[in-house]
Amino acid sequence: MTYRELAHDAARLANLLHSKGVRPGDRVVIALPDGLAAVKAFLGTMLLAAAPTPVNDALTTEDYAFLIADSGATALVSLQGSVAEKTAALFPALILLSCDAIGPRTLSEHSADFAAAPPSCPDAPGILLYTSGSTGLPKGVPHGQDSLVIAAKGLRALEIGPSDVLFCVNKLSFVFGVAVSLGATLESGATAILYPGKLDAHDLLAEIARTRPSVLFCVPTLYNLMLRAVRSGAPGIDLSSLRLSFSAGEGLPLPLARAWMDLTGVEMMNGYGSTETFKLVFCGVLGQTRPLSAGLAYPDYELKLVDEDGQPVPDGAPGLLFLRGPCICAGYWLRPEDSREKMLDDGWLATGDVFIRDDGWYTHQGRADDMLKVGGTWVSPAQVEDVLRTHPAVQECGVAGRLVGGLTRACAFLVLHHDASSRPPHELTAEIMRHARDNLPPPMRPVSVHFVDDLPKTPSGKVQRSKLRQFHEKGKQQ
Amino acid sequence: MKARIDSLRDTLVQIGLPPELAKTMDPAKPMLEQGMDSVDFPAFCLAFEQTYRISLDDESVMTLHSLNDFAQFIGSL
Repeated sequence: MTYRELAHDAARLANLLHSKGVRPGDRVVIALPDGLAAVKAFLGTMLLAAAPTPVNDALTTEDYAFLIADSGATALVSLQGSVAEKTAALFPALILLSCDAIGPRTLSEHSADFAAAPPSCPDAPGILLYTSGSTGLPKGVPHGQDSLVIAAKGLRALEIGPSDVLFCVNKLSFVFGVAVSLGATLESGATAILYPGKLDAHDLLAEIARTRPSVLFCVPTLYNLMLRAVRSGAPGIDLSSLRLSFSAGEGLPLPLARAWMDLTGVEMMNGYGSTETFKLVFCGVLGQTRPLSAGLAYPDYELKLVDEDGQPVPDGAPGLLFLRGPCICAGYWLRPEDSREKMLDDGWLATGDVFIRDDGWYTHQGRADDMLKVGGTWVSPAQVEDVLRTHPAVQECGVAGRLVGGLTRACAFLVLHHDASSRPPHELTAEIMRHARDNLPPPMRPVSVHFVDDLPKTPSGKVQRSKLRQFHEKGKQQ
Repeated sequence: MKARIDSLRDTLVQIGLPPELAKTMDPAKPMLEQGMDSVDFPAFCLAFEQTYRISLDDESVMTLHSLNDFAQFIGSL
């Protein structure tokens, strides 16, 4: 689809929504798979000065009912016959717009002229994003519509141009997917690849070979699985179209970055942002490969790293990140208590993320609530996972804290390679524990390993360490 | 008693202790004085619980130091 065709269809969709009764300031829940219909719905809603509220298209009735009610949506745009559409029956006043993969069937009947509506009031959300709910119920994060433009500019460090083909694995229901597949694409005139389904490593490799992206945006978990798929001899691999790989969403392990760069021969960059910031706060620099680091801070942010007492920490020491700057969400949607906890009165956002600063480069150490204090030392689960993943039997792993004798210790949950899964568990346990003993300082070594079929993950592929913690808490209660 | 001690030596290997250390550990002496460290010990307690399908309370753990202590603890159950 060309930009001209997209502009016309977005205008048609704005007219269609308006004719059904959607007005500036309303929320429009968009529960569509990534594709043309989703982009048209997003942009059409923005033209109307209503707030696109993109959500995952593979949720349950209960999830959709929560999101529709929580957002106070006026309208729902969804696929015909989908779970989301069926959920609309629970909300008699909800305006329903049914689509196929291209958009609403009656779209061509509407005018392609639409004068962008002015915002209804300054406080109405321009875009309403939802957190993935990895630590509880999803929270609405309102942003102005200008945040999309600012977020797109935050990706200029990647020097994206009209000849680029961008493939972002993060869906349009996530902030990074919106920032890349919509923001950066529209800002630069590039081409976006939108894949409608869930991608596993083999699907993704096949799509890369077929669609030939120049820049791949992906989470480390999937880079790891792709790498292992390539090494195990998956057929039809062609990564030659890539000029850059970008990693976001979780800390990027150095061995993984090195292995991926060796495989592809292209640079790998890292970045850090959140649903609350919309824009990347840290980003790598082209030509200065430091994959372990989330990058340098954008100059439009004011940052501080502090210890538990709120005192600034020196370079090299882990500290909690607080930041102030452009397009930071001023408060969660209808969640005053959560807002007070994170969005402080003086404009600082308490990110809950721990970083180390070294010569201006920031390296993510994990979530503050994922970090473990073992024997007086902060332990980053991500660093323990990095080492455990270097054992040949380990395909994926997640590390969380558990109490042993009242003290917090690290424990590991491992998904084994299929060729290792038939080995006796006690033999593998001994081998992996010895591997940890040989490669990690004592506070970081797990006291137990558990072999599991799958790790609990958010829809964007991040390991949910909070759920791993619950494994032991539940076991204790039983 | 010897069979129990041998089984406990297997548990030491399972938590990642070098097999040679597990084999030569004096059952009468505290394990923490024979090459075990602050992480090995809780790891051993967890593996011990799993192997014998029991739950050690914090007070009991405070009384267990050597392989003999653990062997006697099993015998007392």
